[in-house]
Amino acid sequence: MRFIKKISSFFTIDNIFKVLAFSLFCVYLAQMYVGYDIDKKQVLNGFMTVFMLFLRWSTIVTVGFAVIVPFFGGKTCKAILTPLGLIVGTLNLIFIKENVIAWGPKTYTSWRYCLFIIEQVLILIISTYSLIFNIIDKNYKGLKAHRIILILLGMYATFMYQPMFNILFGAHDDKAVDFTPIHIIFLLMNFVLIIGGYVLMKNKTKEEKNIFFAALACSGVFNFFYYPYTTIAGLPFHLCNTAIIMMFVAFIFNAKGIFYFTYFVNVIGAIFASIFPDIYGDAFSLESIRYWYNHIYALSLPILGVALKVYERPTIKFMGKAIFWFTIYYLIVIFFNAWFSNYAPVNYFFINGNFFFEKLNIQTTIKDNYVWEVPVGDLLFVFYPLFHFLVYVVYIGLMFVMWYIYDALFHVADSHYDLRLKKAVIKQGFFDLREELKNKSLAEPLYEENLNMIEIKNFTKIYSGSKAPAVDNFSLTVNNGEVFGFLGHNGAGKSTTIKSLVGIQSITGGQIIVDGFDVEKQPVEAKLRIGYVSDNHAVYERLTGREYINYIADLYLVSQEDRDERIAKYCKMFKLEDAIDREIKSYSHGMKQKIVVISSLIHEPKVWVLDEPLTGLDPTSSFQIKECMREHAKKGHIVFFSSHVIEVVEKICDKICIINHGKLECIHSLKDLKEQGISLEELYLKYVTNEESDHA
Amino acid sequence: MLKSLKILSLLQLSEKIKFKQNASISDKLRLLGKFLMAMAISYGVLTLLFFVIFKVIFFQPSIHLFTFIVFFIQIISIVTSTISLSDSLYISKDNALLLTYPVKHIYVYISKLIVSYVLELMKSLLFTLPLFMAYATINSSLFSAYYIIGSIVYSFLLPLFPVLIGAILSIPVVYFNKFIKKYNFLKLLLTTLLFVGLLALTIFVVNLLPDNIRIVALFNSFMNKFNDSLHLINQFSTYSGFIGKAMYGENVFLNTLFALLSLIGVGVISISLSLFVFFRLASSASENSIQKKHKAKNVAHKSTFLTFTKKELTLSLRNIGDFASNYFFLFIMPFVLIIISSIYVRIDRNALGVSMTYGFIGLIAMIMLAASNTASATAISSEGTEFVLLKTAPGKTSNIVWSKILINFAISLIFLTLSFIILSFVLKNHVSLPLLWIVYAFILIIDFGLILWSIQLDIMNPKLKEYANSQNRSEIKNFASSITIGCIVAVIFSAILIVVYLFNFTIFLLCLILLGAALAFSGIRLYFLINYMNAYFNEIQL
Repeated sequence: MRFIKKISSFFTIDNIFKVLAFSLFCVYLAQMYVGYDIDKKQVLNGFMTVFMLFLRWSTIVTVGFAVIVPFFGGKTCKAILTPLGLIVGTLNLIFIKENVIAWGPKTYTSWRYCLFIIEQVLILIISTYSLIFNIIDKNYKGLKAHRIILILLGMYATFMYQPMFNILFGAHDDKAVDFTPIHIIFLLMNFVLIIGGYVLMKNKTKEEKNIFFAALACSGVFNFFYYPYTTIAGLPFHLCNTAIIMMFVAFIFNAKGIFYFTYFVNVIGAIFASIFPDIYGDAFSLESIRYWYNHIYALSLPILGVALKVYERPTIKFMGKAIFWFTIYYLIVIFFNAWFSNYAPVNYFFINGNFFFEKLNIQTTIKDNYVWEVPVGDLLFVFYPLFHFLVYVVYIGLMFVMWYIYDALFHVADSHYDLRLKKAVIKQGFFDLREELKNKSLAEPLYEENLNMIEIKNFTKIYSGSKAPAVDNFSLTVNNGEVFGFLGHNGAGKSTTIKSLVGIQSITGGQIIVDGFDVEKQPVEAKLRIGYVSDNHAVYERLTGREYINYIADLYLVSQEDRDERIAKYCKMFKLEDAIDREIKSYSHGMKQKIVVISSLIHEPKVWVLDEPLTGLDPTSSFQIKECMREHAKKGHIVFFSSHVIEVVEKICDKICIINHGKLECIHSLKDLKEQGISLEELYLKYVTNEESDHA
Repeated sequence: MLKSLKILSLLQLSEKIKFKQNASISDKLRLLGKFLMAMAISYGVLTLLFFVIFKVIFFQPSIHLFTFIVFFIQIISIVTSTISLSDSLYISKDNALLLTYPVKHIYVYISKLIVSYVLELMKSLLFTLPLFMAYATINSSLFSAYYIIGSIVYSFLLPLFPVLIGAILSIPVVYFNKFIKKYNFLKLLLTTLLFVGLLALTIFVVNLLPDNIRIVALFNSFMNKFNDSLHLINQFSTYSGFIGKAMYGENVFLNTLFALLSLIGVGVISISLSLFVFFRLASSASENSIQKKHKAKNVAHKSTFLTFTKKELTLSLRNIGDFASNYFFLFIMPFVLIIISSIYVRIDRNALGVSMTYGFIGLIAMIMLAASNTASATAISSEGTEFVLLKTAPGKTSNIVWSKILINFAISLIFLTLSFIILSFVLKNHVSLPLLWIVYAFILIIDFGLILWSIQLDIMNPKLKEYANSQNRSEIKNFASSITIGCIVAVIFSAILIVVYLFNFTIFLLCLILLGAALAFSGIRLYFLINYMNAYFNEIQL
């Protein structure tokens, strides 16, 4: 009972038409096996020949639609199928004599006649179903004409009637080999399909992409089996022949392992087959057209499948599967070559003949000198172990080369995509800034209320790869004329804050404003107002002190007169007159620090930022830099420096703040602390010790 | 003593080889697997090479050839070991740490030799051992259990010799460098004289080559002379000669004994010399010498491009060693081009061979240029910690990219032009001069595109911290990527040269097609560089 219920539940309207579509697919293939003589000889007059050609072409297209639509849907495809199927089916029945009787046995009971009738009836039934569906679901509403035309054109190109050129134009003078113009055109068709397919389909939905690939996969099978393979040598065991069947299975049944086999193995085979084609007929011959359809599909479809994200990018696991399936295929082909050679000359995958040797113009010694013959009954199985092994190894090597090429192409695609996104973000940022500035120019401060100060608002910094913030929600205001000390233990977040302030690092959250300019939105203007002394004196050691200072002065647009005056003044102040024209490499640590200090002051910055400036300096050098700091603040500028030497901070600062594990603990004026009788050391240790005992 | 040596050696190796001692078994196995795969690939490639040499070109395998191969490998190893040991023994920054440890200086010296040996051993296992196996695969008469065991044993012994010899030779090299440093003009003078002299000698020698060399007809006499030369050279091979003969089964015990004795002898000399010289040289590297004064003038530049260009030029001229190593392939390009092109045009070729002439010249030139573009591929990374100056400076600091491109391109232009001027004299009777200069323009434009591509690689993937730590450009990944890309582009455009020549176009059409293709390539690279620079340069962080 349950079984009957299951069976009956299967027979929904949709499933019935899927069965009919599948039947049509089988009947069509059977029809092709029976063969069409229209391709071989002309018994009709000129007009009827051309008319029947286009009717047959339209029939193939209709069969394509009729097979795909019930399985993959698609509103536009369903809408096209109805009129096309009904017209083509009706015309085929009207011109049944021209279709069937003219070419073969003049009997209504021949296989060809029966199959043809069944085919047309199935087309009409499926088209009628489509019509009913379209009427019920009002499917015709909202259809765009250009989409219909595009899909139709695509289907006509994909399901091209292979003998068309031969029937219309006769034979072509050239073969499509040896880089003749026609060969180059066929090679370019690969790029046309890949690039065109990608451009057309990249923004489409998954459903539309599935229809696209289903159509191509079906067309591949139809084109391949257009003429039956009646000889053993014609069996589809060549690599690119199996590609057609495997791509059909992969795209219709979503078989991943098989898809990646085609992606790695078949693409290589198709590349070689395209560059060194094995064609004997002229360019318009059936052999040639079928050859190119086969190989263009084998090359392009797997690449498009990944490019359009129908299949994900391969991992080493899929490469392993591809190698596994290739090994199975290779062993089968070796065996079939050995077996079928007893009946006819076969050369599947070209490993039974001398094709490679002829193309590469080398001797056949490797193959001929290492032969293994195995008699089995009346049959003789001949193997070429060394040659087969070498071909196998080389092919596996080529698969890894393809992997490398694919990887490089993915990298290129990803970087271009990221670039486009980045440019959009930058452009948007510029527009947002313009909007914020309203009528002001870009060189004017965004925040006029923050002139002559440093304003840090809710600053947060999280380094990539880290979850915890290095600085968390830090806010601070430093006014003109202040020497501001920034205290904290090692790793507290002092350097992080300073580096974000001067523009070395990005800001994760919050805002930093220097003299009215936002450091992120107006970086150039903000940096023009900042002088920075780093904690590790980054200098070009092969430059002299003077050259280095001039280099910095150029970057900060300092005029000749100003730099002459300031260099002379600071050289005298720091007693560097003798050393200034020697290479920095010969300087002591203190001298290097002084050079960095001079270069940071050369443009008379409004904000002077120093990161642990006195580390490792002798007392004289320390004193000189401290004097510089006081003098700079007296001019009405800001001096903002970090240190963990409490005594120095106590002596020269007006205000201090303490940072602890990325958080602001307190801000105090040193004058107030003195009045309250609180020493800075006690205050610092209070916060640091408390934190340590909390953590303990 | 052994414990100290072990600690010192492992300390230094941990810097040179990125390997975690407490890595899991699967990580270790994975590493081993990769190493074995590399050996297998090496073996495969060498087998193919020997197959071509012995079975296709029909060189005769012999004990002389085998010994010569071993000798040649040893010479290369000695040269590289000498250069690397000159640095690691006496100039390396880790001396400042190692010499402070409570161990005798000789232990520091020996530990450095051990480290050098380990690195050479890895190269030997990846190259020499597969080479021995590949040689015997093709010459199957050699294959035996003894040969296999001998290959493994000698692969371990062979790297010892160049390390010890390199340690000895590094002493005069360091003294010579110290002498040269005092007199900058001497360095420049010697280099120029050497360069011009070698160039003149090369031109003289290639002009002696006969025309219409028939390789097949001359093959036998060439092989005889080649074997005689091998025999002559092998007389100087000593250590390699002993090993070569032992591997070939000639007086195995005696030759192995001689090899071991040579090793011991060289080892004793090396260690004895180090007792007197090592500490003196190693410690003097950290002494500051009085530096001469340079020009005392403040000069303001209106453009940051000029500022950066001046800075780059100044640093290049004062870091002549770095400059020379960056552009080494450009320095040797004229020689390589002259020699190989001269031989090629004098060989009796068929029509296809003639048509490949310009493609061949183009390929060599482009590969040499690509190898020099590594300067651009590490241009931003080589700023190291000094990049902070560009991060904090206002204005268009990305102009530094253009100044670095200019320097690289200018040097390439000079050497390429020099090479083609000489080529046009040397090959004037063998090639069409207008075509040769079209090829010159073609290569120059493509080289510009490659420089842009190289610097784009560095902008996208700067290794500022890595360079700041190692001070070694070749360790930066972009270095290898730039060479790979350059070689691939060189092959593609050489193929275009050959194909286009086959169509027998007029000079005008040839010019149009070739220069059009080159301009298209460079144009695309310029477009991408500008876009990537505008998007990512300011995002670079230390």
